[in-house]
Amino acid sequence: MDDSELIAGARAGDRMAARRLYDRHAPRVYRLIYRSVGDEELAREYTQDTFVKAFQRLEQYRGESAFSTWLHSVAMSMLFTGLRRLRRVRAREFELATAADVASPGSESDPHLRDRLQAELERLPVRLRMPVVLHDMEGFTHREISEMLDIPEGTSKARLAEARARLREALAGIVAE
Amino acid sequence: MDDQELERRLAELKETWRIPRDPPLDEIWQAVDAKVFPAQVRRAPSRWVRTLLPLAATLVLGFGLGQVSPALRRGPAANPATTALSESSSEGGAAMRTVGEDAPFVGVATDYLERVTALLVTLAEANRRGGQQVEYSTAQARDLLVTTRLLLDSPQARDPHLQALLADLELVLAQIVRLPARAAAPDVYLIDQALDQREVLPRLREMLAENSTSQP
Repeated sequence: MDDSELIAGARAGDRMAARRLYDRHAPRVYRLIYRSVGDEELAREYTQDTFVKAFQRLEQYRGESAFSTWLHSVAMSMLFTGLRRLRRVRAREFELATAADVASPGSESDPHLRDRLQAELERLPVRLRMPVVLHDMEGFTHREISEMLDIPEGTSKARLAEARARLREALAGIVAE
Repeated sequence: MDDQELERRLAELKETWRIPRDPPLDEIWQAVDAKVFPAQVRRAPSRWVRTLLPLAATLVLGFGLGQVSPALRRGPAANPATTALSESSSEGGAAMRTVGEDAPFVGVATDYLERVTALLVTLAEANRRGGQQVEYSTAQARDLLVTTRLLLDSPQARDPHLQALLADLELVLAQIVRLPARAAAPDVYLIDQALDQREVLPRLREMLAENSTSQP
């Protein structure tokens, strides 16, 4: 049974079809969100929000793109909304955590390139980190990313290029050593 | 560091960076389910048992005592009533063709229905015991699911009633296959819901009755 049949069933209120659709797509949605936020609790919350919203808005899915692409765009929307909300609520803690992270001598002096790359990746602003996660780690095309993030394809490419440039620059010293 | 080197490093990193542990998919689903399908209030477990168990018992008896199988296996010449049903293709009882070349299919289908019934009885009994952990073979459920799909693809299963019934059983079995992975007791309510929504049980009952009455 393909996605379109399950979607039709879910639209008609068939919980079993909805569950199968969920089973098919939830693992990747969860992994994508987890990679974006790095927190299991948030990943769980945003995955839940994603599927609630997706099932409630299933009528809006016109089949113009793959269901997975549409679903991931809902996931990204939930992710950014959630992060904005979280930032407002925890503004102070976030600032402190970020400051502590930046000032951490351990990460600055870490000799391992992989660890350093990881630290630099996590330090990138979300708008730049997402194209790296989506393109370089999850294998999405720029077209898919543009649909998911609701940005022009060129913007996706430009952000990825900027992110890579920042990473190269940040790691230049390490490599030179 | 050039772009190629960075891409290589990122490719390495993707194997280790923020790899989640097994996600709590069932827990997340329960929350989604409660929000998306709030109107479909869960019924008491006894309802599922009340509905399914008598039917399952009837099916087991029916198949076990040969009330259905001989009629299915009987050729058209020997059973004009069944042949007429088969030709008309308008009733549930005609779902399983009885022409000679379809005899192997009928045998497989009958055996399949017996095994599905046995599995549903197992689940019903587990539920009656108060949602205890179901003990049955995952391989058995998976095997039934495979058989369902083979039957669906079979040219002999061309009757739309049978096709629809098999498609619905496929959905139910697919859900059952997932049950052992759950930490808690199986969510038989979900299966109940699917059986109920798709009227699987009345259709099975109808098919059974049609086949029974088609006997001389």
